[in-house]
Amino acid sequence: MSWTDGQRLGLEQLEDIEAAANGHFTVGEGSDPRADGAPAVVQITLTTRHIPRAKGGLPLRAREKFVVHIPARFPLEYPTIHTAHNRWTGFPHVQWGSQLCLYQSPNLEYVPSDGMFGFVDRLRTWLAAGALGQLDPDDAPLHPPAVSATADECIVVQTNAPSPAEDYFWLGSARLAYRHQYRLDLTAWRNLDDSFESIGENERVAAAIILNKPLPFEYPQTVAALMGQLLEQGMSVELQLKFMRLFSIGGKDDAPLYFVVGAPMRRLEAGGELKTHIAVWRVDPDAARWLRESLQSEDMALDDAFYDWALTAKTTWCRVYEARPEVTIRRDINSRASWLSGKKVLLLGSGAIGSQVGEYVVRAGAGRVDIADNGVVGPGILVRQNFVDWDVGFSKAHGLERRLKAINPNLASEVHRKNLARGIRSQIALSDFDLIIDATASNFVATALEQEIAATPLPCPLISLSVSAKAEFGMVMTAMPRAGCGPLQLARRAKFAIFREGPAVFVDAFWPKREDVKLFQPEPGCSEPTFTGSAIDLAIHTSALLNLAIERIELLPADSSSADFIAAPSIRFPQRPSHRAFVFKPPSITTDGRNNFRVVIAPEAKQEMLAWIARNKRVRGEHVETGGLLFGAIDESLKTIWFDRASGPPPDSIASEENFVCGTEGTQALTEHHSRVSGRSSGFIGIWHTHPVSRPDPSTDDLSAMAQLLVLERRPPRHTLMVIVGFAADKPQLAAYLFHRRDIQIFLPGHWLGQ
Amino acid sequence: MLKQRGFLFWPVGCGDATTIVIDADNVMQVDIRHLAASAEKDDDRVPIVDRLVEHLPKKNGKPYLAAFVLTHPDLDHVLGFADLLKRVVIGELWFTPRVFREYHSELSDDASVFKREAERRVKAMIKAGAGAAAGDRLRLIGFDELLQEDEFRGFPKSAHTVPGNAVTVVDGVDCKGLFRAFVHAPFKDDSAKERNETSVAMQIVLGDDPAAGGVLLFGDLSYPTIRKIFDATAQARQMDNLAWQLMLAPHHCSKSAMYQDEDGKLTLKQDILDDIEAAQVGQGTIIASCEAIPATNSKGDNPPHALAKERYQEIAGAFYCTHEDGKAGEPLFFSVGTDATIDYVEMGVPSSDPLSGAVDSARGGAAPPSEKVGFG
Repeated sequence: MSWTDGQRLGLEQLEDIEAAANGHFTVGEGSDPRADGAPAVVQITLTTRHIPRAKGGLPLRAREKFVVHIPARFPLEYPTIHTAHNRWTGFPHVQWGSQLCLYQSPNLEYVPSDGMFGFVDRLRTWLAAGALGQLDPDDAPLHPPAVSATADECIVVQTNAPSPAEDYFWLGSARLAYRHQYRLDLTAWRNLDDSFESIGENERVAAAIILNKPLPFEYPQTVAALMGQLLEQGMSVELQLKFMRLFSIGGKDDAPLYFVVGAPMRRLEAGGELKTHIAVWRVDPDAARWLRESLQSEDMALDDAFYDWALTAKTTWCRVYEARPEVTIRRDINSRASWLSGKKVLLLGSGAIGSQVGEYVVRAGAGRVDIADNGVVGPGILVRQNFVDWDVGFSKAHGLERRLKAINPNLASEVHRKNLARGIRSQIALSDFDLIIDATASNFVATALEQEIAATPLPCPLISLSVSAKAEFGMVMTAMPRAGCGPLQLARRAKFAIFREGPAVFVDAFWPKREDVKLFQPEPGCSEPTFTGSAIDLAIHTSALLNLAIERIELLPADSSSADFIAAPSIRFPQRPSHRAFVFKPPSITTDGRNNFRVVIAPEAKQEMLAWIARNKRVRGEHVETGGLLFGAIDESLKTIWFDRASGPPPDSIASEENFVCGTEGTQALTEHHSRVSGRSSGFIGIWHTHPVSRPDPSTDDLSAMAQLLVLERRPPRHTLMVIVGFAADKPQLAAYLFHRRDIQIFLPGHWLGQ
Repeated sequence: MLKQRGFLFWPVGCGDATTIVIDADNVMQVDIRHLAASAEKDDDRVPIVDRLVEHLPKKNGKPYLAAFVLTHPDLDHVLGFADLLKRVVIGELWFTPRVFREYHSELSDDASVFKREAERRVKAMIKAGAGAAAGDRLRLIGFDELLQEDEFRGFPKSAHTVPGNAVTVVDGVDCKGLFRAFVHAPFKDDSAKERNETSVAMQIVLGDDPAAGGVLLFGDLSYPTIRKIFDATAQARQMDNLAWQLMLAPHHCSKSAMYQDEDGKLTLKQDILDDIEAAQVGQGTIIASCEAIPATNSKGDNPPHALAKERYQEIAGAFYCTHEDGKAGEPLFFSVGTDATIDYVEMGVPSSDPLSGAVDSARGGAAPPSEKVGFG
């Protein structure tokens, strides 16, 4: 057959090297490809005088001769190279006695545009390492031995192998479970004197030997050679036969026998100890039958038949895929996601966000994922949620669990088909988890969580993910266990922060003006309004947000929380900021002395009060009272007062050592300002003042003031907060009192109320 | 220089001069080639006689060579012998009886001197028997019917070694444990062949275990005779006697050792290379005693031959040329360790990798021209 253009180029490049090498590199005659698409074969030689040698390294001749196979698609495909001898048999990276394994990752290491030049360079590097005995240096992982797999079925080794004694091999059994016709998983090992409790219909028990000494680098290709190797390691042929017979019992006529052979020939990392390399020999069904029948028969001919077979038969090795932690390194090592490895995760919501996040969490190696959701899979959600058509009609939680277990059959999980708006803690034990992910984007769930966290902090971090109405933006809030806030409070702080600092795109995306909100109902009239966005949009946001949240968990102090806003990359909006981040210190929390409301005092608010006290002390003297307005919100449903900001005394206030009369000048404008910058979430909620040298208890004056505020105003509020800073001169002590209008009405004489 | 046990291969151009240091007192020289021009300053060929005179052990105030071995009386193996004989006491001569068959007219001056000295020593040996004095001793290597003739009657048998036998006695002293020479050739049937094919071939071991591998010296033998040596040794089940750590490339790295003309076509005899490779102990070294070997040869070129070098490189752990390796004007010295390992003393690895340069050069550079380039 004729050479392809690529093959001719390869030869030409080799000849160019020869022309420049002054005899140190020669190119022999090539042989034509045997068929269309077959490689062309060229002999090359090169001198090795310049290559330093070390004891135990490759024994180099002064000139080494090689046979290069130039593939038809060269240079797009890389050439292979063989020695012209078998002297290097048994050396690492020399396979089948002569083929050199030049590239660890041809895809990365072979450069087509550099063709034979790079190839010959690589050969030189390889020889140099080989001559020094450094092809498998101690400071690198060990190249696993070469096993020529010819069986149809593959074996996935799931569990770490037993260790043999230092001076003797280990004999036992291995449980193989059929996953499908072509795949068996090795799921457990047992000592010989220890049997498996129960073996399922789809399971087999394989004979297993773990050798304490390595086998040759290339695994025996004939049964006789394998038996010879076992003999050399101290396992007599009689014992081998007995051992195989033992495992032939109970096998079906057409079933093969599996023989697991381990040998210390792997290393996971630099300098690491040798680990067991696993190979699985599939013993032909005929041979297995002879073994079985010979157990019950005196007929020596059966033994002979086995030996005859063993003498000539090739070893059929199964392809082995390693999933053993002891010999594999996860591909996500050092990634953010690796934090999730082994973690127990509670996933609240398994919809657009939750179903995606669930998969990431499982792929990252989480040990347990509980799924809480009471929704059902409908056909429309397949557009972007992580379900399959078959799931339609099933509950989302079960559908996702199936999906997650399909990824990792060993995943522990529990489904909680609960209405989470009714509370989480009462329905799910949270103490078991390392991470709670709120993927519900539900205000009800946030409220329930907020309430529960207020009562008892969570045992672990909580993250809440959401996307904007068109899935252009994403947001994740992360609360560490002692952050003292739930998702509602966090959202509130995130809102203030983004309103204050922008950019406006994030404000508009997550807190749109009411008039801009257009509800989207995918099945008009009968479905919950939702956002619009594709599976791609969700993949972008859920993956990025989850990564950010994990990074936050790793970096945030245990009492802090954060909010991260992201925008999906878009060519149409090149100026759009891609990320905005805020970190929040914990609020001060106190309980109001009258109605038992929780008062959540933002650090800014506390700071503002203390600053005004300090200024007052400086300007008017430490015994003069001061005070100002309080801004925030009072949430009766949560029995919570969000105390966000505090002002100083309005200019027309009157202050003395006896009292503080809060002025009104500019307070309308100030309230409007706070309302605006908080996106209408923070308004006037009350007044604070100091008791410079006394306890923060309400005085008669204070009560009168409250009565005035709640009753005598033209349009009085429903309730008002009074904060008193007692002992303000030395050791400020803060007390909060929430007054309801009704409280005051009870105590006031009728004429006050206009009766 | 000649104090440490080992082997020295001198750069004497295209010829042989191998020195074997049995111990500080006993030195054997195999062949010699002393070119007059080599005494000149810029010549990297060694004036070997001068160097031997300078470094040989002294006995009674005179430089003393325990034995001189002449593989065959060609000029590139004997040039300078007359001078050597004058300036150095040679305890014992080793050579083939073929020397006696040569006519003086066909011999070089030095070979003639050798022949006359040989004839003198034969008489002295017959006269004194085995107890001939140093300076009168000789050892005949190989068969020859000539030896049946009258003039050899009474020649002590102990001084005659035929192929298939080992010698440990040098210059009247049994050096067992320190020295062993196993004689492979010349074969009886070859005594009348072309002179090259009558070369002495030996395995010399500085020790007593031939299996440890010594140096193989094949003189100027070519493929058929070397083939015969391997076959005969294999047949006698004595392959240990061909074990080598060092091999002097026959006939100054001639391709005749492994290529034969078959029907007008140069044919590689891989069989002999395979056999030589198999007899190698560890990573052996092949030495070419010749001028620098060209990268290629033209048809009809005399040795050294690039093809032979390439083939040797393919089978040996190392390949050195007396004029390309080591220091200019110095011999390649291989010391013998107590465990019988033979190491090249000056062994060093060239710092530059010729192949790297070749790949770079073939790959081509990417720099713009360094000089102005004009176009019309």
